[in-house]
Amino acid sequence: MRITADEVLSAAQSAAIHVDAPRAATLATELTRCLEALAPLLAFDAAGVEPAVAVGAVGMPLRADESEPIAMREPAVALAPHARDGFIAVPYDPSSADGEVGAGPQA
Amino acid sequence: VTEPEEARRIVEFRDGVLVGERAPQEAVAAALTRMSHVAAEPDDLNLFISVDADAAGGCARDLEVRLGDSEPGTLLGTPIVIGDNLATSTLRTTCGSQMLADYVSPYQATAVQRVRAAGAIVVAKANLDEFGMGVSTTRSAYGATRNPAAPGRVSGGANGGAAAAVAAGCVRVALASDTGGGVRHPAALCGVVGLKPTYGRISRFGLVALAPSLDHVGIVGATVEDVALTLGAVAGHDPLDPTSADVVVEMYVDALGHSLRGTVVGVLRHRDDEAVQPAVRHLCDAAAERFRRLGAEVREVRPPHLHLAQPAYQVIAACEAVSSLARFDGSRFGARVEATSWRTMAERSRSAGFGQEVVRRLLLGTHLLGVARREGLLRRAQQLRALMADDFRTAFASGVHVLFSPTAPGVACISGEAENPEVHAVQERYTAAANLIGVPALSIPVGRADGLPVGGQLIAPHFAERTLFAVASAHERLLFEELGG
Repeated sequence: MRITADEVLSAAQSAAIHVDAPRAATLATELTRCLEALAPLLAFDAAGVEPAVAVGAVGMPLRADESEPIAMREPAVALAPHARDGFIAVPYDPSSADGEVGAGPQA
Repeated sequence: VTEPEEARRIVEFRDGVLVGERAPQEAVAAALTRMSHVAAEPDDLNLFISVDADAAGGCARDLEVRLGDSEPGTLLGTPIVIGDNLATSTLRTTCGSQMLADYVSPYQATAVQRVRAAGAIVVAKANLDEFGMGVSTTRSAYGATRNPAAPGRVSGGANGGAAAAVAAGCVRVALASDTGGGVRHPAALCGVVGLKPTYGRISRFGLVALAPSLDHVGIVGATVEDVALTLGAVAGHDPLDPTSADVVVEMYVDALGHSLRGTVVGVLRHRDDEAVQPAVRHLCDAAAERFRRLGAEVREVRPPHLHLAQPAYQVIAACEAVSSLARFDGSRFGARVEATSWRTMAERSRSAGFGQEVVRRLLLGTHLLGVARREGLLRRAQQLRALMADDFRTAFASGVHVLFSPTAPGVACISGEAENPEVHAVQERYTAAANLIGVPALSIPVGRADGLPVGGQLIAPHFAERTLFAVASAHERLLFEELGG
């Protein structure tokens, strides 16, 4: 198993982390080494084994799907780098290709 | 090895406070003095990210004023250090990252709230590898923590600051996180006791998540009794953490000081045991012999999938970290680098805020969840997790009460070697399995090799922490006697 520099750049874009081309080449070498160390996972017999997302005594229960008053709203807004009128403010650039996805209200 | 008699100091100090002979302010002053002496040494160990002497002194005074108002807690007047990825509302919580350099949580972690309710006094937040990613505490944005036993060597990780603070004598107990060995590994390398309890035993509310299905809040202590006392104070169900278990909290300290007659200790044999340094192997063999002398039956156990624990852990941890750290985008928390679009702001903020190891692991996790998904590594790791749980169930069902192995394959390496990927890659070989399957595990000192501490790890079935403490305390006492105590 290996990862190419192009795949590193693609992963970096998905992870919203800037990586330049020289760094991508170095990371490709480092991450290929990591992936090679993981290869034994493909070698054992897993036929019929149900994957476990958690095997603690209590499993991984989900919270009840119920809305509750947000008691921490004001402190949470106070933590934000920018806030306006009680809302967290982030930049919005409609001309950006990705501006429509995940963008918050206009600051 | 700390003298077992010293373990009574928490109890004795508490009793002294209750009869008016001791005062919490005296314990806080002693801890702060020791912390300043350690920091003033030429080889500053760099144990802490934040220290709040004024608040600690204020808490101690409050305890004294309120003494007699209510039932005194089990940790009355005990100074404690908190790993800096557990939320505290009076000190910042940086997670060892520039991303959260100025972050002060609006609430405190349940574990922190509970030790405070038991009378402990938080004196400082301890250094750690950034977001708990590392095994050396050289990957903190606030500098490396050095090993008190040998300042030229690493303290282990990820929570080297907490373990080294206890080993250096600044405090007797600390709370810290353990995702793949983050408490046990540094405890072993620094020569103290480190517990990762059963998954769900201690609430994770307020622990900044790295890999939620693997993350635990753990305890570092100078002795087994320190850890048992602290677990009794923090364990229990918490409605704020859906994964915390509604299981009765036992009297852990009552398990100490018993004979091991009738106990079966299974010595874990690993397919890659040759990677263990001979001195470590020798000291762990000597520990197994001690269990035998204490009355236990010792037999070998060979779980067939144990050698795959570390790669499975690495895959799951990297994939879960991708979503856990997605929240750090400059919008709601911490550092923001301004830009004209949200996307550019997020990318610049994350690139400036995360260190190299975090970036490396996030890219690995993103790749595994994306292009490499066709390889099926994540599914394989989760299948391995199920098989490993079966392996351990089989071992315990065969009559073994507790399993034993080295905690780490070697002693603390010199600081420059910590970046060697080959050294790094094997450090969680013995600790990761307990995180994958959620069973409790305890690292205990088993001796020293050329002056460097070596730890052995005990593993028990879910919620059998008392068994760990019983075996560990008997071993601790015998080892102390052997050393001329």
